[in-house]
Amino acid sequence: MKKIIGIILAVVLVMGTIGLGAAEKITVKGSDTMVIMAQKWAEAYMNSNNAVSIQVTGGGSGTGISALINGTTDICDASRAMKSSEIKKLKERFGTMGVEIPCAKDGVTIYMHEDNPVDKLTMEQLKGIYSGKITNWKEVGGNNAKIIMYSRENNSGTYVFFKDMVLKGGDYAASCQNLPGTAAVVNAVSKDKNGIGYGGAGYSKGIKICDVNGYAPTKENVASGKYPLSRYLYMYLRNKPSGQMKKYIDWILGPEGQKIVAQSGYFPVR
Amino acid sequence: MKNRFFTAIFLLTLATTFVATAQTVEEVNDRVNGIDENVATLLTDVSGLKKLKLSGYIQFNYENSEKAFGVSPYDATDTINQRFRMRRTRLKATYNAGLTQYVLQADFSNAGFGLKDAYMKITDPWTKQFSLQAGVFNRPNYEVEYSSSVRESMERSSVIKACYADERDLGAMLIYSPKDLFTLQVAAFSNTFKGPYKQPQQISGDFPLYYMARITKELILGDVGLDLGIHARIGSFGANSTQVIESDQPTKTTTFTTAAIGDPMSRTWFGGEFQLYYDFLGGMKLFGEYIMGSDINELSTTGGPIRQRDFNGYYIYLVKNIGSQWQFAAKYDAYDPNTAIADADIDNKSDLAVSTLGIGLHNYTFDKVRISLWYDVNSTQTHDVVMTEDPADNLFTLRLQYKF
Repeated sequence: MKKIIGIILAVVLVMGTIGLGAAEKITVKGSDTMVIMAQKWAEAYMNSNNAVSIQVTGGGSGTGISALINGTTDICDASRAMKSSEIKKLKERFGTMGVEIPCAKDGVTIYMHEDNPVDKLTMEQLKGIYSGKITNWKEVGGNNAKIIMYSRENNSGTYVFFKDMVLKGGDYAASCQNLPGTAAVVNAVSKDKNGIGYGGAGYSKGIKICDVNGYAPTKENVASGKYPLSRYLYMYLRNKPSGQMKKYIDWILGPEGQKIVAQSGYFPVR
Repeated sequence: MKNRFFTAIFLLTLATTFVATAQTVEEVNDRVNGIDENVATLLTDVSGLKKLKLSGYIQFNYENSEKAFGVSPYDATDTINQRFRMRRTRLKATYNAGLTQYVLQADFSNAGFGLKDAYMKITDPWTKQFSLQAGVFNRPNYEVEYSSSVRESMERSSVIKACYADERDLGAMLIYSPKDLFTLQVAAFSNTFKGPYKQPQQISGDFPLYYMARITKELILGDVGLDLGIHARIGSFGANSTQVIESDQPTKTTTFTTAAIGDPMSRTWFGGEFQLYYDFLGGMKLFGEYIMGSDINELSTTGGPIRQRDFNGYYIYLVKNIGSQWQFAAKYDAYDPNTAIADADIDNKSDLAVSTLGIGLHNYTFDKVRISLWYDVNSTQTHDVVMTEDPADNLFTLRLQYKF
């Protein structure tokens, strides 16, 4: 018995040493809303720091959070806060509650075709449209045409945020078309005169932005919270950052990293 | 004249081409619209399918025990002390429609498959703080609900196995979880699905419903997370014998307490639990639980006496992560099935206290795979008559688990 316990302890010590040694490569996975910004951060940081290699992939906030829990990513980018059920899984697997780092602010933007005469909606109207109760643009002051809804897939943090904030947890209409990324939503709306979609402010190109409750998703309105779909964008870690990871996080939250936030169409947290 | 003729021909050709092109564009538009409608239908179908989630896990064990396994056709004196074992082969289907859920889980074996979970969960659409769960599901207790696919020790603790055999039962549970405050689970079970008593005790006058409640609270104290909880299981069986052996009496006593058929025999216990999480060099957790109460050893089927007994038990785990791929764990659990009886009065092995010290290592290098090395040091209380020395029954387990 002592021999077996001795073997287990020896393996623990050896593996512990190996585990602590590997820290120069940082993997980032998660939010598609944040993926372009995260790639810009990584490129800019690696240009001035040869000591670290940063690999960025998207997939959606839900995918990133699962990867964080499974130990297959170091940083999870998420456009929504972690759910208590996800924190519970992190506790079970790693014995930690995770570290939440707000790294940018965003206003979830309502995209419309440039020719659509509607330029403002209320939260109630948005709820009516995405729940399937309002089906024609004329019901909200537009043309007599069927509303075509575009949404994200359910592994998207933006999908969850929109569902919580606009639909108050209710279901999306069955006719809502779920697309794999924000770029796909923007592309679909830009080609569809009767289309409506939503996504991060950083993707608002080639489409018209719709005011919500009388406010546009501007820096001032998002910062003040007047824009009703304002939110933080997060980075999640399993543990308190140290070494290269801490330097990278500090850099993102510093002037250079926050400048890239603004260049990406989002709003700095500081 | 010639020029007019050619101009007319040219204009006619142009007009024909224009009409043909317009018709072609219209046809293409119709086709695109048709494809759009088909894609929209497909996306709706796919979206519906995404509500259905399949998950599962397989656990394959190599076990080496100091004590023979007693494999058929050999008997307990055989020397077969190594074996392979499929401990779990689970498949779980969850249909999640947001505020309503349907869950079905089965465990497969050579003999067929056994039903594990089969329940629905409905959350109130107004506050989203109340949920009702009905069917067959885990009883509200920390280690019971802690799936063996994530649990660090190879088996549940002795006290949990004694109190919540087979983990699940048939019943209904109300869950109240006001955001960030606490979680309250209140349940009633019929004691008919699984567990120590698989059928209702028809001969008893007391219908065998029992009740459980558990309340948990999560605290964050700086870098430390502390979850606290208490639970209770309140129930009884109607006596099916007039003879009752009290907790402090030997099993072979001839002096019985008298009971009437149908008198309630207590099966009630209470527990307290804690889970502490600390982000220290990769993360660690320390968690445990203590349970005490009264139970009955067995219900007589032949008119013999019923044994009432008081018991207690506890477990404690220490788990430390080493990097993101390795995890060290140690666990100690103890169970005293009869705390009231004096050592001198013990005349049956079922009254002896037991404990287990387990130590092990888990590896998560491969995606979805956990490889575990675990060693259990099992100890049994010694006794001059019943158990003169602690039996050699330590167990080494190598487990491969695949979970998706």
